[in-house]
Amino acid sequence: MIFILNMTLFLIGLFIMIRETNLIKKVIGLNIFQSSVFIFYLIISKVEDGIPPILTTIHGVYSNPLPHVLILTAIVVSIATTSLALALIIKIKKKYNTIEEDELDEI
Amino acid sequence: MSQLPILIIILPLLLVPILLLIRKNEQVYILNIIISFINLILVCLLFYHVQHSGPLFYELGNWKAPIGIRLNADLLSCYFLLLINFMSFICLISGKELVNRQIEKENIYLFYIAWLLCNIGFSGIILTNDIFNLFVFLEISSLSSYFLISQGNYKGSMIAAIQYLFIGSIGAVFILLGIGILYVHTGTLNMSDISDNIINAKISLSIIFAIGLFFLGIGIKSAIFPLHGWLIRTYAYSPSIIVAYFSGTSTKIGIYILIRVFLDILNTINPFEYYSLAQLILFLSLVGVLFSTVYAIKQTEIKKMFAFSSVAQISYILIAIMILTPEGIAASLIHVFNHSIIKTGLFLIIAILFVNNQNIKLDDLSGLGKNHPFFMSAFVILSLGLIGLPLTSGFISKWYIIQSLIHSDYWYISIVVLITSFMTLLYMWKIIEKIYFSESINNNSITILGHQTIGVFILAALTIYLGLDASFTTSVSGEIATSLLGSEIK
Amino acid sequence: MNSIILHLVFIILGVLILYTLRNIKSLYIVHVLISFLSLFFSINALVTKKFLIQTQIDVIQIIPDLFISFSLDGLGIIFLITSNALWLMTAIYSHKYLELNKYKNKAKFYIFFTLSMFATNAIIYSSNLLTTFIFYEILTISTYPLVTFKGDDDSISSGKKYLYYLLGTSIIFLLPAIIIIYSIAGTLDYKIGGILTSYNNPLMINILIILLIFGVAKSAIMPFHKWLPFAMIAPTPVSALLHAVAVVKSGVFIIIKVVLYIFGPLILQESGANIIIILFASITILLSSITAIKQDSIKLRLAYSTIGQLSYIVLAIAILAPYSILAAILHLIFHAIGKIILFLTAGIITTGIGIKKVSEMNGLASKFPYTIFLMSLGALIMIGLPPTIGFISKWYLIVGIIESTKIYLLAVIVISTLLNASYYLPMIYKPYFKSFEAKYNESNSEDMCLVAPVIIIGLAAIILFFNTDLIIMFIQEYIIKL
Repeated sequence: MIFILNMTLFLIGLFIMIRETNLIKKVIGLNIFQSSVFIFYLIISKVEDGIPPILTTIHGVYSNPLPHVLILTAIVVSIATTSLALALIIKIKKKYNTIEEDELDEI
Repeated sequence: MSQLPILIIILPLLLVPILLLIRKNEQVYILNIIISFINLILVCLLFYHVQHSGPLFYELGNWKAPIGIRLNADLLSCYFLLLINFMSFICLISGKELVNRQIEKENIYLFYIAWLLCNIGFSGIILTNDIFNLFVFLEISSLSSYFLISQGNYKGSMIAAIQYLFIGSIGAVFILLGIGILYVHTGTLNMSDISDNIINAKISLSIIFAIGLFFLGIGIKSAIFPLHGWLIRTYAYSPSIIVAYFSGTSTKIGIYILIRVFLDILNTINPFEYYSLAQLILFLSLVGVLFSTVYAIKQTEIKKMFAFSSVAQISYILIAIMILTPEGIAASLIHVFNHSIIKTGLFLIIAILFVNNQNIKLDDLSGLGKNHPFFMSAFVILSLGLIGLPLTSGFISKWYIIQSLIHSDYWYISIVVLITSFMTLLYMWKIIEKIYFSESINNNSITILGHQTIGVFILAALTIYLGLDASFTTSVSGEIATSLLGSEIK
Repeated sequence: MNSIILHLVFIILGVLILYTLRNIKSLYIVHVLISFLSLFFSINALVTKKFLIQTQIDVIQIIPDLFISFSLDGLGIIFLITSNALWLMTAIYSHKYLELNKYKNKAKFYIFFTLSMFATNAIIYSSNLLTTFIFYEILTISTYPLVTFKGDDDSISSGKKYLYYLLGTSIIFLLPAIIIIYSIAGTLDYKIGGILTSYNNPLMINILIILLIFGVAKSAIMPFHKWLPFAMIAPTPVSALLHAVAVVKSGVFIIIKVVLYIFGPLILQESGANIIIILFASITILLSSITAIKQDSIKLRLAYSTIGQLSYIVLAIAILAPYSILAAILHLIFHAIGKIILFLTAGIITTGIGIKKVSEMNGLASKFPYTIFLMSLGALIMIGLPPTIGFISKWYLIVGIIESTKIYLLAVIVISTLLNASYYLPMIYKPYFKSFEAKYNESNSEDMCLVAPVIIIGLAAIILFFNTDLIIMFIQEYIIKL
């Protein structure tokens, strides 16, 4: 069930990226798109009956901490990408005075 | 010796913050050259070691795999590593003038740093044995390349950069999702482990979905038809030296990831059997070759012509892989090497001649044969290599590709390959004719400095050398193919 | 060092010497010397019976198990001496020709001429199909600058089509044929009796033969013959040596070698593949002769005649009778001699008086006595009338046809001979029996420097007629039993 919601988010993000012509909105789409994958990793890390993986008394089943770690890395990558994209957009705006893709295509 | 894999990545990485502090363009350049050269030597040492003693593993932080991240230098990795680092070095030594003339002065040192980071990213992708690490290095190299592309002083550079950013990120996210699905099924991120465990996984829709995601991501990265649109735009608007560098490296990285993921990791579940994926890619590539060659002939702008030519050649490589015989894989690997050398050489020549021109029309090349005879002879050699005439490395790759096609069940594809080879002649010869037979229009202003041409001549000489003595490429490719698909080839 | 390698290295050194000395005035002397020494090597190989040893020299291993390798056999030595001797004569001729026609850039001419002859010699010396293919392509590329030598728009566009025809057919047809042969036979060496002998798929043999005759477009079999008329835009010495002797004969030479030493007569007859060759060759003979009649330009008429004559050779080989193979080899030599006489004399006329068309040739005999006499000799050789050498090769071809019981081919021979006569005879009687129309500018009359080499070739033709038995004995001993 939750996977379906996740995939919906995935598709929404992808759709925004393809459909929108405003560059900022594309970046938003990109973020949604990437976040959906992050959430996917989080989903798969949850183990049934698992507690957070902090060593307390011997319980037995812990949730998987590895995907969380992976996501941290991926979030960092996503931030870098977003900041690079925004920097480029600012420069484009300064140079061409527009951030609509169809107007930019004519250049 | 056992430290070599990590050194190849760490050494340049350590240099990066130092370079950030040194703001002087000259010194950054020199240090960059030095570290590239050292890197190249380390790669050669690694290659020699691996060829004689087998694969080399290095565990980061001494954490045993599959817990820790492991670097794996086997023959496939070393082959690509050698190619990428060599191309980076050649482009660096040829590129100084070009960078100085095209990139804004304040940004030059950042430009070189990004170049170094891109190379680190490529090397990391090749060396890593952890699939998530692959994604991380992929993003490192992609981010650096977005920056590098945006530095061009053409009107469309930044727009091309941001469009490439969007498409590249989509591809990377596809790969990330694919990695996640694989992790769910196998519980490990280590490539060797995944290949061991995947047989036990229940083949379900999600695995097929993961395969599809991987393929889309790789396809975007390698500019497989029909996902090649970004390549044409990017090659047209990047700084000239970057086009030369990327034409030989970034698409080949995509091919490496393809081979690694599909033929090494997922080998046991035969990913290409599902929904006849291999046939689909084969026929897509066939259409791709035809379309891109036709488009190349119709082009009047030189850089776009070469870009379409690159798409066609990548399609050749894919066709050779998709017939899934050891011969085919070997042929594709040979062509990866040869094509990188030739394409980078061609783009370098164009870059050196026309540093700042955005649209290089066919007429701009007229009469260059008289003004710069030696330099243009390198162009002729490289073009003959692209067409695939004997005594050039291109002939060797064509021979092997056709041979592997004829031996497989897809012999009729060789007809298309041969016809498109001939069509390559059509668009390359237009250029050669213009160079030698037309009166020069106004390119007396083109001056070529001696040291710029060294890289080009090295590449042209290599094209001929590898055409005469192909033992290096053929033997290594053969070994890799046999180890991947596990049977004897001729 | 082995004399084959010595010979080839020497020619390459000649190219380098020509390049370094490119600015001296008397560069032609160097060219003549190179061709003379090349002929010396060839005769040396004959005299010292080097071709008997038949050792193979492997030079470079290009693809694992495939080398560039050279050797010399009886068939090769015949072609070797023919082409190098005619090279020498053309070298002497071309000096004055370039000068009188005021061509610039003579160094480029000599360099690429020598390079083309290097490629021709290398093809003759090749001992496997791969080497042949490599030098076949090199020959195409090294003749391209000569075809486009004049540098005007016509030359460039004709040169482009020349290149596309030759490179295109070799990439699309010849290369896959070679790769398929390699996969079937495991080797590409020329061996007496063929290397495909144990292969029994007649369909594949037929396909390979088709790929072959289309792929070796230098043998000018229709429909891929068009490059030859396009190449006529080149200066006359180029048309003479290269497109009457070196290039086209290389093509036919390759077909002979592949038929005899790759496929072998046995398997071709079994699979009936030789019928295909006979078919295409016959069509080419007839169609080219008809087209030649329609040509008014002297060089184009000679070009279409060449296409037809080459197909005589290919037809002769395809019949696979001992006497027809003899005819093929003899015609290789005799056609080369006859055609080169025709082209060189046509060049003398063009240089002397600017005439390029047959219709304008009236009464030239009075102005150009030696030239027209030699041209008539060449024409008679081509038609095949006694007492010329052309008659001898035609005779043996007819014997071969009768021997092979394919009598219907006699019709092809008779019709084509009649057609040949109808387009060659005007070139004989117009100069002699019509009166001269004095509206042309005689800037250079019959320059003896140009005529002398042709006289030598003509004398050789006459001497050969009386000594053909020597050649036949040679062929019988070293190539094929009659």
